[in-house]
Amino acid sequence: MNETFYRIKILFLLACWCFSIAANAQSQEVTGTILSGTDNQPVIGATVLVKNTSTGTTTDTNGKFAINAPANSVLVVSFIGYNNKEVPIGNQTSITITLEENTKALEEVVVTALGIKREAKKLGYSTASVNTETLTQTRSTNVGNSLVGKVAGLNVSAPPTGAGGSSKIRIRGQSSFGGNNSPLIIVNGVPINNSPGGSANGAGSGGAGQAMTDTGDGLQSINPDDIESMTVLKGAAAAALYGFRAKDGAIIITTKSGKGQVGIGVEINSNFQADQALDFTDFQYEYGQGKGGKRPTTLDEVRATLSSNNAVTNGVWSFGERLDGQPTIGYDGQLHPYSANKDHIKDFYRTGTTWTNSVALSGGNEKGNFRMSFANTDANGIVPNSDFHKKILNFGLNYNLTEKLSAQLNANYSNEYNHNPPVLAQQDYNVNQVIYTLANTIDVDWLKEYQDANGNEMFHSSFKNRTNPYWAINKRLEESRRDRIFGNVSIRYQFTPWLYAQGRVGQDYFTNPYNANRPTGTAFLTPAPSGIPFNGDFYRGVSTFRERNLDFLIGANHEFGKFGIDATFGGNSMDQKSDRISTSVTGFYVRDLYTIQNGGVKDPQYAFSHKRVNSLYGTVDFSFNNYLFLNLTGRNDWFSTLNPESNSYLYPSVSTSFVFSQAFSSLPAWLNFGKLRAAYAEVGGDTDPYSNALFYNINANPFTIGTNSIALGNISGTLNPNPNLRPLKVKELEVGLELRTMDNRVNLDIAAYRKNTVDEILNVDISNTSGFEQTRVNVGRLRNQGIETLLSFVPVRTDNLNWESAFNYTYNISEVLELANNQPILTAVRGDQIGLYIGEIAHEVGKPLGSIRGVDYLRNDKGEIITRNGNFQAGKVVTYGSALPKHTGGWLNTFTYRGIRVFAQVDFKAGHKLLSNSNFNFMRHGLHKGSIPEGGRENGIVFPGVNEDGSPNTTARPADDVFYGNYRSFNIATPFVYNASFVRWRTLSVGYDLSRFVSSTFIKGLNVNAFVNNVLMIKKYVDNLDPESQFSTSDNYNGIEGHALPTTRSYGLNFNIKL
Amino acid sequence: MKKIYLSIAVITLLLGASSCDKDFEEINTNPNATSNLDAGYLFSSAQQGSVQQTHLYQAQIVQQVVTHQTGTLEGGNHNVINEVNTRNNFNSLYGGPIRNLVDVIDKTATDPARSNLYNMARIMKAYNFMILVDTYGDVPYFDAGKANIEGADSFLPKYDDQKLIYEDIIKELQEATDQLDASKDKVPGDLFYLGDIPKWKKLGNSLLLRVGMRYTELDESKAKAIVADAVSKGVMTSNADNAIIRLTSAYPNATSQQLTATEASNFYVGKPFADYLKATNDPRTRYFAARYNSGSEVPETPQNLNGMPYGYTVSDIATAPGYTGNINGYSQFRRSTVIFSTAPEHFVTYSQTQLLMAEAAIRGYIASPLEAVNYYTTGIKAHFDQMKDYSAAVTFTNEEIDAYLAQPALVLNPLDSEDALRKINEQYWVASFRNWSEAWANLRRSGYPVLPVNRYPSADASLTDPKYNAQGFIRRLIYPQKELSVNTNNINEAITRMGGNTLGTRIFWDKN
Repeated sequence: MNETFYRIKILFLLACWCFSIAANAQSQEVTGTILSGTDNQPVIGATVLVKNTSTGTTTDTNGKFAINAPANSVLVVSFIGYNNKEVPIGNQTSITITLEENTKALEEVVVTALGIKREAKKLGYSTASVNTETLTQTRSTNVGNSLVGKVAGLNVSAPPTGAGGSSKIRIRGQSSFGGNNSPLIIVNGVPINNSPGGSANGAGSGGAGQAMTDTGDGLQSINPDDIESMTVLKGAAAAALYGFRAKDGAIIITTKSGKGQVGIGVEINSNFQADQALDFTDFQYEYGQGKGGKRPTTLDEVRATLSSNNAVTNGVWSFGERLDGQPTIGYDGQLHPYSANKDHIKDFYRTGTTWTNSVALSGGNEKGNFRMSFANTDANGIVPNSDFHKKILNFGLNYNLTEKLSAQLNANYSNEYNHNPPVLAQQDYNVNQVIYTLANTIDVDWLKEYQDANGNEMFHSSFKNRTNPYWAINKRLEESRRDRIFGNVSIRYQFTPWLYAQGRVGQDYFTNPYNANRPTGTAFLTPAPSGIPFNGDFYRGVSTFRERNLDFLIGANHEFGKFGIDATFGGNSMDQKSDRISTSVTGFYVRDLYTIQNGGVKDPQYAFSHKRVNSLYGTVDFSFNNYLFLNLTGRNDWFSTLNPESNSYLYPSVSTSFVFSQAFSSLPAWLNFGKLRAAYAEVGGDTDPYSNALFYNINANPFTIGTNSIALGNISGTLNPNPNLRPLKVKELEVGLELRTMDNRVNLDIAAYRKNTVDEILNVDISNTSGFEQTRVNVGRLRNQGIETLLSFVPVRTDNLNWESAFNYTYNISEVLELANNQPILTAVRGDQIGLYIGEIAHEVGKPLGSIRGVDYLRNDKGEIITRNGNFQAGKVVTYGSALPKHTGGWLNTFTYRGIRVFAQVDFKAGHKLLSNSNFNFMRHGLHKGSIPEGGRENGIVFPGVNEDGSPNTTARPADDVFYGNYRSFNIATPFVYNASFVRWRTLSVGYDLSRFVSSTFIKGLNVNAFVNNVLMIKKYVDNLDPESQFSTSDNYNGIEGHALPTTRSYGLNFNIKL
Repeated sequence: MKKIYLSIAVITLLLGASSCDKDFEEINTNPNATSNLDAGYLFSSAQQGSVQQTHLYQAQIVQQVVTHQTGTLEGGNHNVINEVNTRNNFNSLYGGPIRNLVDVIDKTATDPARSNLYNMARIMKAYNFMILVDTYGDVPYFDAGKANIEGADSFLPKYDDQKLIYEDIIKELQEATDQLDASKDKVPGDLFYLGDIPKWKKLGNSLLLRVGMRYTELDESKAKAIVADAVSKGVMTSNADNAIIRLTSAYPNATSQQLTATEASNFYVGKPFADYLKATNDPRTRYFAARYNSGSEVPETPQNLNGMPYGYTVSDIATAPGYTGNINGYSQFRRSTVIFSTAPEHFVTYSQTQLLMAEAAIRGYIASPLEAVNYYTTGIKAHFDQMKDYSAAVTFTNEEIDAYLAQPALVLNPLDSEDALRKINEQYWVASFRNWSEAWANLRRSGYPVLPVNRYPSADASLTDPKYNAQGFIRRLIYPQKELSVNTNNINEAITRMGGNTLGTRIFWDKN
């Protein structure tokens, strides 16, 4: 390495020397002002160069400059968004130059990788800027969730997992077989950790008491009001400078600064939002609670007590008699009419509320500027006793220490408290599962008496894992707190107008104290260990995470006639450490005191992980005549996690852009701008620390025999270590076309990409008899390819009314090309591993990623369902299709009329499947309409199948819990796999700019905005549920539905005041 | 310009000063674990990991435990394949004790200072492989558990012929037991005896006796030779010699946990077991069984016992004989005495050893048949005494034990050898309560007790397929599905050798 490094150094120094030899003899000082042709205002930061020399300067805040130029030389003035202008100076020593706006190209500046700002036209790859206004006007607690449907190439979903939950963002498909394929999130140039927390996202520690919940991701720590710009780097080429972290693209967030603020400005934003559970259920309300066609007649039969197996109710069976309104004993011991209670969802869930208030203070002068903001969010979830609170303090400072030396500081502190995030997927403590599957004649209110005289759970079902929901919300406690600070300090020295150097230190640090219990007296719990009076569990742990990035960047540019060159060279050292100290306890001495000290059996654990990646990178841009651009990048990463013999990897990229509208003057007038682009890049993916060697561990507790304490030691883990791992690689090719036509009123941006992932690191099954279940190898290959389009047009543009419409559409298709050892299939997760009943997610060679699989009916060669004695049977495990949508898109419309702004968004996903564990339960519990055969249950069911000899089945089975229970006995999934496509009217917002009414006061701006999220489900195919009802952000759980929260419709009001 | 050079020089120097992969090896060494662990700790863990859950198949095949539930609990109760449950012992033994023991043996084989640990590990390994063979037939043996030692070459071990595995187990047991030496290293982390070598020798020989008796129906002369060798070297002589692990609150008994908590209302005493206890008026009944209503525990008397018959499900249990209108009318296992959460686990006992010797005497392998009576009564009494391991509350009077033994149904007539073998093995069945792998193996070997065939209508077809001659009983558990897909070639070779991978396929010594 050292040698390479020195070579680069020498090359670089040589280059510097070359630039500096350009010298000139007799010069005079020329001063001047640069004005904008549109408004005659000074242009700040314009570049002024003496033609054919390296002499140059930039204009100050008054648009003024001073430069030494030989007499009769020519000044070249350039600024982004304006046409370059060459001005011969003759003998003048003072000059005013007016720049014409470059309307033809509509020059847009994009923040690209490493925070380098570049003109959009020069880019040879696809990027997208997010309209940050829509993030604040129709807001979600998690800013990531606001991106749904807004950007071509981005597949965003907002899992219904509670206010403090995570968002799920995927760019150009799923790039690895692993669960987390989330893009890199960069805030002000430095990466932050965005991994989603909680067992529902596969991130639990497995401690006692931990349940399937979503405790939120890194984007929760960002206040949308602080976001100045958000750029999505979609492809590998765009993100190539991030090397090993770029496999999923990147989202570059820049926070607001006080730039342009004269004096002190204050901005106040206040947002209130109410969330209502949406009820998509369409159950049968013909037959009531009961089993085998009978209603309960005694309290014992209703309350499934210990003699539960006699109970004809089980709390969850709706296989009783026809509803007749006759007095029938209820769970509360009282007589109630035997009629349907259709409002379980309405009765149990409350209206969620979210209050967000933020205030920002900014100010600046010619030396610098600052901005400071504080935001407070209090959200009460729709599940009672579940709430989320966060406070975010953001500070940004830019200061020009000298004319050439500037410093920048950005810091973001957040404090998050997630109280009782809803339990998902699993049965235990999952209120959603209970409420949705409760027998249809039960009134939710009857369950409110949730504890008996001894303080133990009153359970309503012999399925004791179906916890009484009121017990769950009142007795169970889960708290996740996060104190987080991330930010960076950078210093930049502008040696000359064409050369700068920058150094930066960034850090993301958080601590996450977490605790959860399984309360004493919960019906399904095991008795306490001998000698300990009360059962239950408690877990408390503290995780800390620290990522430190040190980087430097040196940038230079130069023009030689029609040729331009722009080069940047930099390096980064990333150091990441995380640990977790935790204790699980089982059994308690004092009842209802959930502490570690009070615990009976204690299991303390400590986990630690440390890795470092050092990198050097460079990028060179060549331009020709301002219409042809070529960009080359290279990044070399050195990994601590890899074998020292082979720990260095190079990631190259090349991209090119051709602005043909500028190259040819003979193009038709309606074409305002046209560009072709192409790019190829290789980027990587990371590996875990310590996966290269065998480790042993000692169990936390000794085995005690009398007074002897015997330590138990084990080989760690079930994964056989592999010392020869490499990082995975993504090789991506993309081409694109950009057109702006009809006076920029009809614009098209289209990209096609092919993204191959090779050397995928896979855990490969080996024989358990080897002592390990799996080993880890570099063999997998997969591919994503697709097309992204953004078509935007302005159908109406008048003085008063403006209608902008943008339609984005992405087609992505993936294919699994190879798995290890020629194995045909790799199972990501089986439903039974995560507390569900049916289904599994797998990757199959030759098929798209994320196959949903499950047990089919037993069928004969013709595909007919075979019945035995009238009952269907279990057949083979089959693949139903991919959980990943092929089509995603959105249609965004903005209307403005005299200060009124209306925004409406419709979005859709299509071409994927969903496996519904809820509908599986609805069917076997007798709630699903499909559990009533034609002609009613009284006549039994003749299942449409054939006998083994091929003759039609004519045997009628009682249409009861036993027959429909066969779905459970055989875990049959086929009827519960749905087309997950949907079209939904996502948002409607109406804003009014009231600024002009208050213009005479101290108020500078006043805006109000009202919005509705989830306005209308226009089309869906999934019975009884929202097709977006998934409980996790993990790609391992794609397409598996498992009793997440109902999705909500929210109504909100937003006030924004500028002082 | 000077300033530029200076700045660049400083930056490059700063960077150049630290090489790009400095400290990487140190960073990638886990400070929270060790790469070198004393083999003694691995041995202790292997012992603890040898406590297996056997209540879903083994205990139900021998008809002591029953559930009427389907779904996750189904298996031996309905004579069907439930792969999640059939693969249990396979995966937990290979992933736990076997891999630890192979590592212990690898670490200590050439270390004379640890020869006792080495030989104890060999005995422990033989114990576990005996269970694997008795449960699955051909399994990987010679190449098993070596992924961390030999790497990729041993990721897919070959399946060894069960007969050859047994041959090696015999050899290992004989060698290891002989080589144990009280004057050499002590293994204080031994969960059985805290390192008491004489007791380990007795365990080794008692296990050898158990292996020898497996051959009774296959090769009498071989059985005789092994049994005689084991007995002559000294088997267990009292309950103090029992190989037992007394589970603790930190390491509770997993079987107990399931039977007393989530599944408390799903497991019952099997009817044949209840009927036998009832017919013999067994004083142990009050500790074995109880009935529960609203949480209260009423110990059973033999005459009140109501075992649940096999072959029923939730849907038709109400039509089963003995159904009292309430599921709680069936007897369950008594939680406070035999299935509390820290209940001990017996591996090899004095009682079992005495009963095996009674049979060996009847068969003329050792002593004279007349001495069988003594072994038999000592064996039964030893089990009564052994019940005290469960709880201090367990007491029997000598009078009730004597009265029990004096019943004609129990008195042994050594001259009626078939009747004697039946009685001895029926008691072995009772004495192996909670040691269900052994109870199942002995049932298959001896054919006793004679149990009714479970008539569950959808039972696995192989149990009645004449090809296997399973006679309606589960003879073997099937291989894990994962092995079939991962280690395909090797496992197919084994399946061909055994003639099938079904519940009805017999183990090589199962000739009854």
